[in-house]
Amino acid sequence: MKELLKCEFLKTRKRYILLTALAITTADLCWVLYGNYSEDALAKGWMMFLYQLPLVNAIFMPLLSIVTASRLCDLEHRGVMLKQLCYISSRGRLYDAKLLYGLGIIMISLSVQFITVFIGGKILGFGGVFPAKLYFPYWLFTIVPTIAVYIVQHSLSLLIKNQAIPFFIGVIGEFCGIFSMFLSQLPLLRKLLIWGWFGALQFVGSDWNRETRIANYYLLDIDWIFFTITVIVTAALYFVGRKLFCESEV
Amino acid sequence: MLLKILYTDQIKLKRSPMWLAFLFMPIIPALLGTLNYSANIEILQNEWYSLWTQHTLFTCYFFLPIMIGVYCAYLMRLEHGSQNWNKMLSMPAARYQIFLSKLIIASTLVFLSEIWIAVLFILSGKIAGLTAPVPQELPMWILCGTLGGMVTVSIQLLLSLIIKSFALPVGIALAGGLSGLVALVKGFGHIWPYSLMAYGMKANAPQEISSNGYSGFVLTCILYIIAFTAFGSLWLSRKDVS
Amino acid sequence: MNEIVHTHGLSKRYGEMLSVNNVDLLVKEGRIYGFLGPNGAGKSTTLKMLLDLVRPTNGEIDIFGKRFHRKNRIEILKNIGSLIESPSYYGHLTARENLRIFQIMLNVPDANIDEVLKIVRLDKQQTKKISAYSLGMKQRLGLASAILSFPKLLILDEPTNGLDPAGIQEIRELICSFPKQYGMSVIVSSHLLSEIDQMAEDVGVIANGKMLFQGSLSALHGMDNSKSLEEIFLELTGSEESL
Repeated sequence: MKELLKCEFLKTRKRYILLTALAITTADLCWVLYGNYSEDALAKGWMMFLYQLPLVNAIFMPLLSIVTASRLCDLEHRGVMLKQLCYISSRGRLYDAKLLYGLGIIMISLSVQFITVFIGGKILGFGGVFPAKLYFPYWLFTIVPTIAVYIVQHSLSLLIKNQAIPFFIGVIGEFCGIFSMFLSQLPLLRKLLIWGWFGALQFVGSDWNRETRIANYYLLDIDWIFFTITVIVTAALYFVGRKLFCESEV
Repeated sequence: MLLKILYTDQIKLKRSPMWLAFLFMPIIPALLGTLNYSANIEILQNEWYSLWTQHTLFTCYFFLPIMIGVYCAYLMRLEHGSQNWNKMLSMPAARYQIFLSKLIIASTLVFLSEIWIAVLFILSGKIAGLTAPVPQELPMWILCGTLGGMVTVSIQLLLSLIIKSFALPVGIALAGGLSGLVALVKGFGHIWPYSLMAYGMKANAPQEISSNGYSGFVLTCILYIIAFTAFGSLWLSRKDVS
Repeated sequence: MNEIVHTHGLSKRYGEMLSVNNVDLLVKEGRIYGFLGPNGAGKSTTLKMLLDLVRPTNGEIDIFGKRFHRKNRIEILKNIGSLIESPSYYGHLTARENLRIFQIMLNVPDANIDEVLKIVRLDKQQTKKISAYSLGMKQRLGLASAILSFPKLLILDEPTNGLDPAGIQEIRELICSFPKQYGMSVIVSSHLLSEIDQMAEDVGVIANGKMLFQGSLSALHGMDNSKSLEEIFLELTGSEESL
């Protein structure tokens, strides 16, 4: 596996895949951090972020996954490499190595996001102590949906030569996910779509007082059972994707 | 000759169900946007205009730019693959017509999407129980949206022509869509190329009547389209086919 | 005899490297010209310049007796058919659909499609998608699209690539028939010296961008009648030089 991962690294030289991922992350961070913060907003900053970030993640993380997965898999299709590689190594290990490498890039991007949000909050002067106890679940609830989406994109981009199709599926899925987050009357929809999990796992609510224009943030119960289900589904997506690739014709 | 090239580009799209994505995509904001509108009807009091913002918000800044990016990348990918440029460019055809033909094909799809968005909009409004007449500005939103969309098409075709990778121009389209939102908020949405589609569709302020009418907008769009098409044609004419 | 192609001091520079150096290509009408050279000698680049796919750094090109430039480009290209490097095709389309695209752009009759498919013996495979074709079949399709307009000048870069021995013989016989049957002039570049030996009437030998020999095939043989064509070629071009 170590050799396969090294191969992945060598393949991506001069392809700037990590750079592209970080560029998308930067766009994400600009979106998150930019704005005029009122005194009240600063005081409640950490909670405010926990409320707003899931939506931003639902926009950017799928896009990050689509672009990264497509770029990693496309270089195999363009050089017609799969024919060659499948003799050198077992199909399953190829799938795993490329998936691991892609997830590595995703994790780097996510870590950059988390750290920058933390530093950004500190610099902006968010009130109170950094609520690590709340941010830890938030990180978890961001990482798992992102991994799920990435696995789907990775499988699609490897199996289908025409990269336009994984792109379209991913973008439409993301679109549905974002919209499901706005439909408060249909919370089930969010849970059913992997792209909606960013919102389904959100545990900070807000009420917005029209007259005073002040938002209050409150904690919701964390549905750990649902989270466990998402982890199981993510694992299932991995096994299904891997099996499909192993059995596909090259 | 342009008509001939257009016909051949149509043949190349056979068995490429790309347009299906453009069929599905507007259904989502239509469905869910209308649901959201109905649920929040006390806040969204501008009837048709509020519904329009629901339908177009995410479409204009994210999903249409990205889909246009993917479609243009696909159109160019057909030629980048199998060294097809070797054959295409040795054909007795003016190079600018080759670029123009793809521009027309992609723009037609954008136009059809806009019409579909309008149809869904009217249907949704009726289903949501809106009794006021359909806004008269709707045809203008559609036409201006198409024109603004053509600006995005011309940029993306150029990028996909120059950059052989599939995903990178799409990444740029994403950044472009976002930049369009920023430009609109900051007040220069009427001149930034990526915001012209949203500006034309009046995605954020449907009732606003632009102070200088439509002529400024149309001129800006046309200038951009000509500029990018000219650049693309020049590139095709001068660059060595490797 | 008319000159169908004549280049004067044709050169192409890529950065520091002179990939084509002062080449005076001379192809006579109605004859088969064999263009020989090691890998990387500048054959493809020279042929691409004839098709306006690559712009010369220096030199002039005369085709059909006219100076090749922007204004008459389309007129000239109408009468040239080509197969450069590897066959170009749209994998998701059938052979017929692929040829239809070029037929429309070249403005030739529908019947040409049937005829060329029969000539390259793909008529029974014409409804299959190209992505399902073998390498040899793709090569035949490339040839079919090159001759689709039955052009005055045919430029073929390694036309027998990927073909089995029967296929190579077939294509060789076809190419030999083109001048007599259709009045075409043909430029064939190839590595297969034995093929060129059986096909060409005139040859040009290029190495490192420079034209080392140009004339009739018999004159090339005449350089040393005791040696085979391969030996003469390797001596001319330097046997260690390959890339």
